[in-house]
Amino acid sequence: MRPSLALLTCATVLAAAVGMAGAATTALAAPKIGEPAPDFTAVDSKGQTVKLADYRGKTVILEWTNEGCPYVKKHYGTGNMQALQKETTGGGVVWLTVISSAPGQQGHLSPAEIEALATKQAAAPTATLIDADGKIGKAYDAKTTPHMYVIKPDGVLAYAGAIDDKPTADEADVKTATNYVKNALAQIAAGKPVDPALTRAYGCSVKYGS
Amino acid sequence: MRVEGTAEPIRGRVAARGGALASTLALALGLTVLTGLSTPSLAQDAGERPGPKVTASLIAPVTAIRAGESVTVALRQVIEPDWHTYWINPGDSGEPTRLTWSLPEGFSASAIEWPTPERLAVGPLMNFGYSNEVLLPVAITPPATLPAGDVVLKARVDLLVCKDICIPETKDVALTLAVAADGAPLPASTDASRIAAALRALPVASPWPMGAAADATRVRLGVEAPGLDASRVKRAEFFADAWGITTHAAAQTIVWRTGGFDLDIARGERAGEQLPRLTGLLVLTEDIGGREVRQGFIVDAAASTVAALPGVPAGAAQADPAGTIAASARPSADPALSLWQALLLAFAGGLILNLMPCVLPILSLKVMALAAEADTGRQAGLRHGRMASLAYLAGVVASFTALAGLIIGFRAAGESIGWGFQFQSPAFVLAMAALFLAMGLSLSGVFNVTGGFVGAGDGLTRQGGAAGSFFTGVLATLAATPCTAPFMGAAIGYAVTRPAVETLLVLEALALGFALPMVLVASSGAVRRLMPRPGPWMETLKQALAFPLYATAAWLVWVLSVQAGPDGVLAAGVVLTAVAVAAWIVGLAQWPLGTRVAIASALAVLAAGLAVPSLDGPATGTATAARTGGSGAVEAGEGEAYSAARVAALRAEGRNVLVNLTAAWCITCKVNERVALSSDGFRAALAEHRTAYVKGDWTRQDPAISALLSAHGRAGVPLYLLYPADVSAPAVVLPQLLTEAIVVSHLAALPPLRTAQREPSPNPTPTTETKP
Repeated sequence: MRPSLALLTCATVLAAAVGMAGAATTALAAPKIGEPAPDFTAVDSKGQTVKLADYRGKTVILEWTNEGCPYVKKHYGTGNMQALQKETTGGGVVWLTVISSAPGQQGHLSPAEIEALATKQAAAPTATLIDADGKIGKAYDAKTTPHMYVIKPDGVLAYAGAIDDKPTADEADVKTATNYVKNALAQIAAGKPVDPALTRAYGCSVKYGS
Repeated sequence: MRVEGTAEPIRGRVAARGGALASTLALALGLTVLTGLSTPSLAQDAGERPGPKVTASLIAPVTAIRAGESVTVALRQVIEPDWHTYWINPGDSGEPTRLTWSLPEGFSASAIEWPTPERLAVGPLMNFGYSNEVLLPVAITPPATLPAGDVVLKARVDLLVCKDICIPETKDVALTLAVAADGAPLPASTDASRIAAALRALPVASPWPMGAAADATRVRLGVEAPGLDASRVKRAEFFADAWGITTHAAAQTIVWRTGGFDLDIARGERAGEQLPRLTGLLVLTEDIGGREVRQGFIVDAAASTVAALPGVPAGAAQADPAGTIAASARPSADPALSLWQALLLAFAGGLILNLMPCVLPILSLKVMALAAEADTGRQAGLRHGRMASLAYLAGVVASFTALAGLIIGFRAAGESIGWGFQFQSPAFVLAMAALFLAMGLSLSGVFNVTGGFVGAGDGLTRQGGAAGSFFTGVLATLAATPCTAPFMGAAIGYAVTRPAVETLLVLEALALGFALPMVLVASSGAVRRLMPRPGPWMETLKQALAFPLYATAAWLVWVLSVQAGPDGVLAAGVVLTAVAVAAWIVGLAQWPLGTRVAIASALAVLAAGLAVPSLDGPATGTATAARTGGSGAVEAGEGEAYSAARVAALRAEGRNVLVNLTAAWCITCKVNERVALSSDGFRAALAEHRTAYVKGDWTRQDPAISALLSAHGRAGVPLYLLYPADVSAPAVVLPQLLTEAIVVSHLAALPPLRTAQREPSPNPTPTTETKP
């Protein structure tokens, strides 16, 4: 009875495949400057599905955040982050704020809490993405809050790292700092290579679940 | 948003510049000094106790200083348990402590002399820093002349302290010292010994020459240390002092070689840049007389860039921060094999694998089928047998090639897998249970696989016979994986750490050894003539052989109970019932074949869909309980759960330690435990030779056990290690098939204990016999 033989063969192959799949795990992988930024799909705080590839043709800024982190507060408390959001999105740039805090960890918020916080802080991102399983964060190797990425209109990663050159939680440092994101945007606009294109991000660790 | 509600202004600078401080600030002539009050509650989490997490103070070894004579003071941080402050390279996040000095005129302060940090894992990220208490030394140099009176050294401290959340704290610290007259000895303070100890513990210049080489993804630090006693080194860690040089969270691999060792580290964010020098700290943890001593050595090594670093050889140990390098994890304990030795061992292991209890029932069926064919005419039967043996060989070789492909593929993806790893997946275990049940039901006659997978029966077409034989080969390989035969462990261990071609060669040698007996039986006329004539007894035997298969399915359900708990057993019940129903439907002769197969397939898919989601989630609690409690997989019940720290602690107590690395799905392990490791004689020998029995359960993936296996060049269980209490002696690797006599003789061969025994041995006997 050939069919039952085939059936059993299929079952074995299936079993082997399931077993192998179970053995695989994911690891942090760093995207490279000058190479295509990893695509992703996420749901934002308004319940909309956001796909990075849909923004091809526009410059995209990714901002990792955690509202409880003192380094994030430094930039929101001084209005520095909101000003940058308004300035860039006003010029046609897409700003995606990403929350990779796992449920139960600092910075994890419900969609309603995100909206309320944005209203209170007068934040102006294009969208705030909920990445509770940390998939996007790990795809970008996001380590700290804040951690900033600039993606050129052709989808290539142009900048990754700190928001500025003063790695402190001191609000007074905002005024004297050189903002690396602004710098990258200006250089992209001028058609120049971005420099610095890669810096050490500073801040609190991203509160991944595992 | 609780955050805004409780946050204070970042720093009370304006308030701090009050009149009370004005007079002392005047001492700071010309220095722009920013002082502040402590801001402990900046980022209070709702669940956290309020108040600062770090108590900081400025301490000195003396109560007075003298003009022109440097003195090393220290910022002492007392850190709340579970909180950390940071090294100069804080790792993936965080910020090092900063000191802003306001010193009297003419004084100068050095930079902080950073003490040796620890690796602090935060989820998938890694930080470098300090816990509990740390002293940050700074040399203060007074001017050449000093007026009489007191001197006040002041500093503002900006530090970040983190647990899972982070709090920046700012503090003012001050220290008042008298000015000593010329010639008088400087009076010691109560902190003198504390500071002296901190200075002694600082990283020192390396006594060994170092060099480094980097390719696009890895950097390797080479240390020429011929005098270093490798058996005492428990851990080696490299801390890069700048960002982007290494992947902070990556495990580091230590490779011992003649005259020193190499530490292999994944490069970091700046892997695209040239690396002219590798700078930072090499931290070695040595076992000195049962006590762990940790020392940092300053690394400043010229680095060369190469196209590709050579691979890490077999026997390399993970220099894991969790402390999984055992003191004996040295190549000397497991001398590296040559390729030829590995091929020979693999071939021999494959031969012996045929006799293992997981494979023998399946091969018996095949032999029986051949006996049946022998009756159909000697010449035709022999021809058919040759064809069947080739098909069987092809099945085995194809399966091992697929396994080699998986090992190579997973390794390329940065994963490490080995022999039997697929049984760590509950879904795979359940699928195998279903397969064994289906085979058993077929043999019991519930459904009839004429010319089917085991070829038990007649009326075979040549085509069907070949497919059946091929499948027997695949099945035998799958069924073989929970068993390990003697010689195999070392060969497979070699295979998984070598370049792809060698991995493939070793596994093919294993496949040839595994297939050879069956091929000989099937294709040799002489062997076939020895077989009994077929008759009604064959049907009876066929039905009887169903029961070992049921027993195998039952055992796999027990493995599931260990892996996935009660939910896993329920899932198994659902799937196995569905398999039985499907088998029955397939066996209903009056229905059209297509309908029967369709219904049966639909049932199987439905049952699998229902069952598989319940296999992975909540089971861990039970699995962990089984691992630590020793009720499920740990059958003998008396073995403690393995950890490198526990083994070290037991040896420090002056006890020998027998480590048994096992898994519920490993039949060889279970047989050994039954035969050799649970008898009264075994227990008496343990007591007599002051030996602790420790079990590491690999039923589910466990990185600490995987690391210990790989440290001994193994890719799977079982592995039996006997650690003598004397930490300078290497572990003895016991054979993979044990008897009580083998274990007892190894225990008896341990060197006599030098340390005074705290409890009298029940039967003190000289223990100096030679090894078996």
